[in-house]
Amino acid sequence: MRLPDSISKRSVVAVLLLSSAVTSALGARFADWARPKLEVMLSPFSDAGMYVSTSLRSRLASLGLPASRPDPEKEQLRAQADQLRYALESERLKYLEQMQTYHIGEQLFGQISDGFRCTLIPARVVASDPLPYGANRIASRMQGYAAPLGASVTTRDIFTDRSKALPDNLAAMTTEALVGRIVESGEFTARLQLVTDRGFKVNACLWRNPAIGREAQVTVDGSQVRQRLTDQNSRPIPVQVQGDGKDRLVVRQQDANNNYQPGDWLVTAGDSRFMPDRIRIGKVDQVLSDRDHPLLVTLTIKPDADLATLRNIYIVVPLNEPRGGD
Amino acid sequence: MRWILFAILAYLSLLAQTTLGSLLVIHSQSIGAIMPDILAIVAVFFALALRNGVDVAIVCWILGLGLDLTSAGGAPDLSVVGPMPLAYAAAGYIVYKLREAFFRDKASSQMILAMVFCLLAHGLWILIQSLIAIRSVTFAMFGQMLLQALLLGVYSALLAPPIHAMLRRSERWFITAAGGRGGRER
Repeated sequence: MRLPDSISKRSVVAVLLLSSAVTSALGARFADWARPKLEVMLSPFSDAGMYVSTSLRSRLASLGLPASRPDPEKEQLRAQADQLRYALESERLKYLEQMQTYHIGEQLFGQISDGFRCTLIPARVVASDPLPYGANRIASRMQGYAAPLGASVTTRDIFTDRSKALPDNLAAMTTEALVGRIVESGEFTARLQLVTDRGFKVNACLWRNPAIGREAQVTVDGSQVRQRLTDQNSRPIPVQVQGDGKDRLVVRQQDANNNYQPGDWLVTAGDSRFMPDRIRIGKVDQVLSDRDHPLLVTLTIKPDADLATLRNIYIVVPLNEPRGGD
Repeated sequence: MRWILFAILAYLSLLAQTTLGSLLVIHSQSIGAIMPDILAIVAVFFALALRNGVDVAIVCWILGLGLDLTSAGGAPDLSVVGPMPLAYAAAGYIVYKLREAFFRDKASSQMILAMVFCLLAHGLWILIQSLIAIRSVTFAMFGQMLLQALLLGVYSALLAPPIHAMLRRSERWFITAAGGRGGRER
């Protein structure tokens, strides 16, 4: 392809470099317009590549040395038991909240059901961020619907037990976990910011798992006392959580007297327009002391969802959110 | 230079980077994600193969633009479009100038130049994006991204020889034989 004689390649380079400077200066305005255009061209073919990538990654993750590989049946049962306990605790807390008029708003606590005040729009992750500095995914969505910016995104995993006979009501269970939110939305694709991205922040609640025996500071009749944590005195503690830019979330400057332990749950606060219910985010992975403040701790949270193999997701859209709104 | 075929190669490389590239990611709790930059390896190939520095700059600019249009992470705010084409073009031209000191077909040369390219391009990108988002980027974040860029360079350097070997076989599809050393630049 030859250029006309009147145009030199050097002038082409100069124009290209100048245009880069201009688009950099335009910032998000140009980026929000331009990115979806290329994502549309990529998504038809990237879906297949993403399927190969996530399938292989899942397969590789399940491989391991026979001696150290955990029994998959035990792991599955453990996960189901954890889910049962979570569902039971959430129903118990809802009852207690209603009984004590601990009103946080009209919220369900637990599984998303047909009575949920949001619509779940299925989408699929078709491409990942090509650079390692951020945690984003490109998702394709239902045609004709533009995901609103800020909409929460969850997974919906189905646990099935194929080996052992369990009562029918335990054979299949659904759970969901928050994986991120929509930060860019185009005609056919949307960009999903994962919960581990350093720009991700959300109001959440830390829920100390009563199954982990410990003494901790609890609120009884309006005053703070130190008691053994039980089903009756365990309450969610409001926090703000953000991604650490690696593969965890971080909750900073928490009172050490609350005696957080690995295994405690982190759920969304349920006070957002885009997430009016409580959805699991992850579990406490580490409790780190703050060197400067001995009475404070920093918690690292491991996301419940496997973000490395993320494929099928659900965009949570409130029922009163206008379709195609930004 | 056959630009249409190159555009197809750039598209396929970008596709590989955004899909299969996630298979190559190594997650470290202390550092973050470590992954190679396939487009940088392709850019270095053309920087070694092309005979015209201006063509090298254009090729690298196109590859950098593809990368910027598909990536949004970095600073806490979404990154802007523009710094990576600039960084790629600059790094590509520098590699083009440095290539006289290397043997193109040697694996060590390809690895060293791939690493140099990645350090220059990604370092410049991180600097520009951090300056743009200076209110939200901390020194710790900046340092972490630079460390990731260093490891990205090492990872890309390791993958450079096999990818260059594949591209070498199809070199004549993209690069015409016409034009010689010191050929007329337009």
